[in-house]
Amino acid sequence: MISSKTRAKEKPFFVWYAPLLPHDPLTPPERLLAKYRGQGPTPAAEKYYAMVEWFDETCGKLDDYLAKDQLTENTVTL
Amino acid sequence: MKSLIALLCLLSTILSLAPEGNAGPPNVILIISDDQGFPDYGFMGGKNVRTPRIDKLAAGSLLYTRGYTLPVCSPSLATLLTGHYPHVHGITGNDLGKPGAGRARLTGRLLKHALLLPKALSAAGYLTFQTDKLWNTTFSEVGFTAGMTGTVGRHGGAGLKVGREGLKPIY
Repeated sequence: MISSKTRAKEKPFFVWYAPLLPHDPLTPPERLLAKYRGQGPTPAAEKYYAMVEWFDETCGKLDDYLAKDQLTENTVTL
Repeated sequence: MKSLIALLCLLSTILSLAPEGNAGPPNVILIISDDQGFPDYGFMGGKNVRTPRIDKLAAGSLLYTRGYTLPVCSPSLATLLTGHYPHVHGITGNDLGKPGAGRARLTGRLLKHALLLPKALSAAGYLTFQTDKLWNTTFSEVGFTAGMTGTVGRHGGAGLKVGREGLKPIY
């Protein structure tokens, strides 16, 4: 979306990224859930914590993508 | 939610700025979390979770430290789209009708607004792309040039996979 279409049309882009990651259903990958097991008041809370970190990871991937494609300077992230 | 009103003002300011050099109007990415407690970020002082990437973004950003959101999803999203509080935009809860009554009434309230954020940006020449959550409406109805979320199921269908199943639809 960002690179191919916007570059081809030389238009700026607006991306609405509203994932339900900390939202039910709580389905974190084991690699993240393992970090929080035994750290929360309930097993469901530990899953929520892992979902929050998963959300954080995806924001990082977006940021990395912008940097890789030299889009950081001309992109406002809210 | 005040921050969201400020956001619309900010966007209008951004769009009115004269481009510097060949850069042109800036790209905009709007990241919205969902059901996340406000203390559950490192930059908010949260100790239970690790959010290093968002903390890094926050460290280089302007923080609206007295901005407040609404307590449930649908009014919050409607405020982002319209720039108005619920007593004006009319989406005052997630489920305002009897079960099975459908969402047409809420869709009507939302779409009656002349100014909708995606529609305005599309009109300004942006390619506007919607993923994940968007209630009571479809991406095309509110003026996105492309998107993934419709009105299937409770939260909107295919667009909800973005993030959980990768970010490829975005880049």
